[in-house]
Amino acid sequence: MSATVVPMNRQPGWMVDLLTAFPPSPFKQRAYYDKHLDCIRVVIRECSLCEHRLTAIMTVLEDNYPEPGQQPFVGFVIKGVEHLFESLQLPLEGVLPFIELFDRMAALHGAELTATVLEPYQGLLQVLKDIELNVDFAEAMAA
Amino acid sequence: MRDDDDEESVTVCTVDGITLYCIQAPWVSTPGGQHRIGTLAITQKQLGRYPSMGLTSELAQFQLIVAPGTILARHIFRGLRRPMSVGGNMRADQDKLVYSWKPRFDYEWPGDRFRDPPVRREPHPGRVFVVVVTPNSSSEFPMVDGWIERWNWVLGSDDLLGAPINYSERYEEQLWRAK
Repeated sequence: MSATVVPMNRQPGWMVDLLTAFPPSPFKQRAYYDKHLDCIRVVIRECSLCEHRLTAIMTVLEDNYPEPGQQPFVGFVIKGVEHLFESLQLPLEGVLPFIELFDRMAALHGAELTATVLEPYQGLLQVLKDIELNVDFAEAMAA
Repeated sequence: MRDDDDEESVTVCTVDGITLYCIQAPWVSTPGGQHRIGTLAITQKQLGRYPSMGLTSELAQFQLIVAPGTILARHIFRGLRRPMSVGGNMRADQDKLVYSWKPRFDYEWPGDRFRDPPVRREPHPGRVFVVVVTPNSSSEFPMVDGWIERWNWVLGSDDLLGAPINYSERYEEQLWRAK
């Protein structure tokens, strides 16, 4: 895939205003609740993403242009969070370790999320275990 | 083609102190019905989450793909066929619209994000771009037809140009396709 730097020495006024109101922060690996689409997004790399739908409740995120040696899978989307949390008898608030949620979800949906289905993403899951990401619902609800 | 031509593709308006970024897109109310040019919008607060979280590639994609390109969408699908509860509506997925097409370019905004420019990339040939939209149900913003919620790449269909893979399983119905 070819890459070309886009000259951007004249940002449109609306973008300048946006970045003034919301100054950019460095990317951090994060898990967050998207209340507009009722899903939890987990992303460990800032990049252009391709979403692959694994099941009705789970999507995996792939880096469209990984560097050589990088693993391509960089996140998950867990969908139907309100219903999922009801099923798991969890409150939709506070802070929750993502990997704990993932394990409980995988147990609940074991028929769909089998070891075979999840096998290609074990590297990503190991990273998520290692970095101990939390989902902060208070942050999402304030958005 | 309007790819990269973002200067005139975003209109800014403010309603009761809320700043909206508005773009044009095909709009149709009933499957197979006549389409018109509608207005899709995202609030400054919602778009501002992307730079705040350091998700700069997605911000670049909004500026350089979503804003100038949604008007060129080839398909609109309705209904996401997945569990979704929003604002007390347990079937919020049924309302969602998905615009899809194959843009000429993709963009990433790496490195020192706001001093270095975005990088334009040649997209993978088998992938298409989708924008998820919620029809506007608020009388507070009568100029808005739909709210832009999300945008990303997905695998493309082998049998319908510009449509996502397995579109008939992923979505409830096809609302419109470009002639």
